[in-house]
Amino acid sequence: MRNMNNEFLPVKGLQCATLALGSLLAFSTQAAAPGITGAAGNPVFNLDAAATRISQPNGKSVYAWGYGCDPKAAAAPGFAPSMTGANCVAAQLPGPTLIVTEGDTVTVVLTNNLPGAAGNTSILFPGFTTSSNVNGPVTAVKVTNAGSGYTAAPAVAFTGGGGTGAAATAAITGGVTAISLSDSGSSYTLAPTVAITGGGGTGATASAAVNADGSLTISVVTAGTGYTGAPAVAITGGDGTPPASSTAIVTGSVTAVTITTKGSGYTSAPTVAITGGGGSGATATAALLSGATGLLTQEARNSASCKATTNSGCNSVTYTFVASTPGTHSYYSGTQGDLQVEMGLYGALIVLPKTIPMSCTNGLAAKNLIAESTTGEADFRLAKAAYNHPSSCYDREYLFQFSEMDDNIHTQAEQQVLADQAKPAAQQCTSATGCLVVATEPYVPGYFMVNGRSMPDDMDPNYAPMYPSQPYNGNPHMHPGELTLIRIIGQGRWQHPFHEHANHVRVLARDGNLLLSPPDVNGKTLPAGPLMFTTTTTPGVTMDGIFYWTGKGLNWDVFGHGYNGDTTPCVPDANGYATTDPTAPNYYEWCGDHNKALEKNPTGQVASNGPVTLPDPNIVTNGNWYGGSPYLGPEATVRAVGGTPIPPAGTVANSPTGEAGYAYMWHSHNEREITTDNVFPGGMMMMMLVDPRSYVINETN
Amino acid sequence: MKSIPRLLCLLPVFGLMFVALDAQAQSFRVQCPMSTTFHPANPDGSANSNIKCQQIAGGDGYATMGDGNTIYLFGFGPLSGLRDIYNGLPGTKANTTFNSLLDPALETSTPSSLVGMPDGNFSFNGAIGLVPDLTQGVASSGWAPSTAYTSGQVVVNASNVYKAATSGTSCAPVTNPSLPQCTGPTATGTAPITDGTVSWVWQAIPPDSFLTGHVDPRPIMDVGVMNANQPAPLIAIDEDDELFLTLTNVGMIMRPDLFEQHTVHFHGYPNASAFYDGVPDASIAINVGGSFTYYYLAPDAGTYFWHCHIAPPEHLQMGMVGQLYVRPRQNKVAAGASLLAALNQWENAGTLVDPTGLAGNALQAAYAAYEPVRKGCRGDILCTTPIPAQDAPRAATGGYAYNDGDGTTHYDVEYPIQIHGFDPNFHFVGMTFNPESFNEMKDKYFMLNGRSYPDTVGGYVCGDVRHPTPDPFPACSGRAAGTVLPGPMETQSTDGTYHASQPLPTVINIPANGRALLRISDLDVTEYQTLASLGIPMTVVGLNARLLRDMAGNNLSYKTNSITLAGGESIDVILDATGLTSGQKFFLYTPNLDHLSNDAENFGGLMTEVNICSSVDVQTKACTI
Repeated sequence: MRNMNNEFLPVKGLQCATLALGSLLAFSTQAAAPGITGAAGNPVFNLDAAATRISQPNGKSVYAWGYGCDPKAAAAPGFAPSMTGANCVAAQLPGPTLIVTEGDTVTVVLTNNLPGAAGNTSILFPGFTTSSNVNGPVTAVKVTNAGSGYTAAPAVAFTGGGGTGAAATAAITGGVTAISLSDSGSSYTLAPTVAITGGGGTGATASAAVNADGSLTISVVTAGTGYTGAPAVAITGGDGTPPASSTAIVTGSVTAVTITTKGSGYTSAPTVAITGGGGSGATATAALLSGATGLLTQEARNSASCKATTNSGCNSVTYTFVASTPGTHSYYSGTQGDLQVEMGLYGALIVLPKTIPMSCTNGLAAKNLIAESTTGEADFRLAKAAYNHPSSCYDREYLFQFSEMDDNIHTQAEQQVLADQAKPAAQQCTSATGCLVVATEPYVPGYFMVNGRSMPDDMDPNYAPMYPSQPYNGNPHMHPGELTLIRIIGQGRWQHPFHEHANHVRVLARDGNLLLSPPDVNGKTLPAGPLMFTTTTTPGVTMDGIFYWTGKGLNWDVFGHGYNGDTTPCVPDANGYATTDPTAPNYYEWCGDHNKALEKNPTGQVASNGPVTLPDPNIVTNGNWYGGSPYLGPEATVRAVGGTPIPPAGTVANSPTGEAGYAYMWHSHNEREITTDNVFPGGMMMMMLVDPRSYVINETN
Repeated sequence: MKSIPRLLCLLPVFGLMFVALDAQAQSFRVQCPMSTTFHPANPDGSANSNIKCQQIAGGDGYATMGDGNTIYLFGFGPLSGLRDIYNGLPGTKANTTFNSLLDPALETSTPSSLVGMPDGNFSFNGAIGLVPDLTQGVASSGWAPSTAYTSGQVVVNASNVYKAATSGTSCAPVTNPSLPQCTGPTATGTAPITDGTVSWVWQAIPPDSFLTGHVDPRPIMDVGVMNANQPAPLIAIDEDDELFLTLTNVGMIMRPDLFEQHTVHFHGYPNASAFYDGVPDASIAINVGGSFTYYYLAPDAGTYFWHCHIAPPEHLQMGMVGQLYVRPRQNKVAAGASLLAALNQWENAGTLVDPTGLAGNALQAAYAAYEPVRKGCRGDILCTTPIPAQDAPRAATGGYAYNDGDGTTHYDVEYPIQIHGFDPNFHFVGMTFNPESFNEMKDKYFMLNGRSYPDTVGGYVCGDVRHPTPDPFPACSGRAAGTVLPGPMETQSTDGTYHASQPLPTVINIPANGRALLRISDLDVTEYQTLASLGIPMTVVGLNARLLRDMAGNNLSYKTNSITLAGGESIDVILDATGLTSGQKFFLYTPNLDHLSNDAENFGGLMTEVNICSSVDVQTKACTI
């Protein structure tokens, strides 16, 4: 929740809404497509699913489930692009964006940390052939025969299976079979009392008898059960000197094997050897966290059902697949999807192409890097192309995941989870299908989210601390002419028509499949996806598209050139754009409108004899992203407004003297979805800013 | 539901209003130049007709639903091109038509006879409210009988502006029939006016010399108030036109608590400027009592649409949605000439130079060199006009949906069709001072061009008591009173006057063996809607105002029996009547079966009729069987 004012937004009356927004903090410009990474070539992601809460701009905190990074995982994930504050909590909406490279063998270990009432959970990776029990680490060891006679923890060793590095420790459980004394004590005439405490078990008793020489003989009367370590033996009372030390000997069987290192590269379950420890007969089998068999995929077992077992990794499952196709993909729960996906169990998978076309690293692509570095901008791309195709080069990228939420479902789920957790442990839900009876129809969503946040929260930075479970934003910025890759995923149950103001989007690919023309005689292919100003987001469908803005064809100079004494050049390339000098402030200006006036009688210092007279500033209402003039950039804006600083300084999200970008609303065009629980504005909406070159787009935190 | 504080929120706006009063700000005005730098006057000095203008009112009104119920609208009404709007045509006019003067006699009655216009007799297509700006170059603006006149004094009649060539004493104004009449000014403007013993020479002057956009607010309010149309006035331009679109905010009379701004979002305008994009957060929005002229160079051809962008979930649901399309440059290719050659010109343009420092003809030549390039592809990933493999000659008649180069989007007659939905509960609450529910919004009326079946094919009742006698609607000639014809639907407003609330029927008349272009847009606020064709396959040739063609030039158009759109999408469909016979009838209807209803009526909804005719008038769309 970014601002308490939002609580008081009116249902209507944008003037009020924008005032509320305008009072917000200065807008920072964080965006890109952040996510987590693993080892090159063979990335392993240790994810979990857990309950959390997400916040909405009306102040509501909604119970939700999300994927996140398993807090017990040995290694933290990598983050890309590099951002201060990047994190991956145990449960987030959407789940962590997994960033891999085409051809990688990707391993995802999912641990089910959801409440027991939720039952099993899982992940589907649509578009990939996923195996859930090969090519992974050792993730579970099951003791098949406990053996007997163990007086110390035996050693555990893994052999075979094609992998390396797995290690585990065993634990034994048994009764007290003897008590070993350092000496027998002395000077007793009256027998002391022997007390056995600790060691994890119960019921062991022993008695002391006084020998003729005043020493003691200690005998175990009852062995007791459940001892996993040696209990303490206390010899008190009597009248002699007790033994200097006394040790209870526990003899038992192997009851647990704990994996300390999961290893990697196993293609089949390795053999487990249990040796030493004084006993014999214990056997165990290793598993590659295959989880439980579900309908659509292997599932990670109900966490509560695993509490009763000694099976380390019982509530985990491993998925392995080869990232065969580049592009934007989704992942989501394959278990009770109508509930679990609604609760938030979804995320994105970005596969970067293995090969980058030459044209994406030279020519205009290289010039754009010079332009960015001229103002000190860093490169926040995950790659230089979305696919191994020259039409997929890009200069910036943004990921938008669309979902809607009926918080009534979430409230029902939370209440039933709490009721279940209030029961005695033995009565809590351990069912694979969970124990929730939550009506998911009739469906009346009041929250419409992009990347798990509703407007205006989505325009706060990535990893903003006020949204600990909603790390990703939706706040795109770009400079004129920059090819901007838009990655779109439909993650909910509804379609949403996503309208990109300011230009069309060339659809490059759907579900990671490039849409191309048939090869010509030279084998060359060209984009065949449609040009769209409204890109429908469909549940389960991903889309990659290229967008840019140049201002071509307005018939007036957006930079306000051509004023008296102005000699700013606009040297055109073959397409009419000023791309000769990437360090120029008007890099990528459309020269066909260079120096063309907009205003008939300008109020400030811009060219005159244009077609229109601007309205009197006193009879209009200024928006909070209004840069202060019709022109792009603070230089032109300051020139154009003359002595009239409009809008008033300090009330805007797009400073006339600092940014003065062109702001465009990108939003769902099923317009009622740009509300947050009956309040406009909100929901699936964000402002996209085309910024002048002088404004540094900083995608770090 | 947050109930607080609408009024509290509006406090800053009150402040703004006061500022406006203090500043004595201008209020209404229009803009429509006779020439611009881009479209200079013709060599003979006449106006350049590639400059198109339109004025629209932002306000409220009422519409009639398919079950006969009246529904409250926030909406746009026409303030120019009223005659054509009434007849279901675009209200976009060339500057010469826009800049013409309404007969002041229409303003003389009380209440004004302009209230409720247009009706069947209303013949004016110019800008409502436009009056000569007498502050421009004249010493005095008064007019009274026997007044002393100085050279340069101006007099206005219904269609012309005259200026006294010499000084003297006047006769009575020609516009005041109660006084002795002058014998001039005459149409030629050079004849003397005789006033008693003195003759004065008057000189006709081009009206635009005094038409600076200055308006009289009375006719604007008389026409514009409670005159919302559903859908909003139709806008149609040709590629390369300049469009001056003036939004005049007349206020919402039924909701005086709101005094809301309105805007125009030209949906799909490529490379839009934020300033003219109509998003109030990213630009400025015009207050009640003011006008804002949006300026656009017509973009690449296609079926776009427009709507208000203030609080869209509300203003769009309430009816502030309209249609807008751009006809292609290709239409201007001479009949029989190669379409492909025209396209190729854009790919093989001349040398581009830096315009900086150039002037006069050199500058104009430099700019002209960019015009082909502006449309060409040249590797642009957002290219709209890939070069096809086939050529075709420009057909002798009809038009093209896109710059296709191969004639594949040719049509004989075009129909704008807008899909929309209304939730009557929301509209009812919208007329009250209560907050509306967005979560529960559920459309119950499903409309094509603001009407549900059977109004899509009717709407006009010949000889209705509210019409003049004889009924002026041309098609009513020779028909019995009570005959229902496709024509403007009228709705009685709360002041008792009738308004042509829904002027656009959706009867699809196609000449046998001809082709109809359906320019379909959707501005539904809540859900996707499907429109199916029973009988004639739909050929989808365009999507989102873009030709369906890959960048290699391959035609990606496809045949289907239905199309599905969300709000914010458009699609171009051709219905081909090849092999069909005049007199055949087909239907467009929705397979969303619950949308075949008009609220409680289990009948109607998103449906209309397709007639095969022996010929169709491309202007009026009249069908001859």
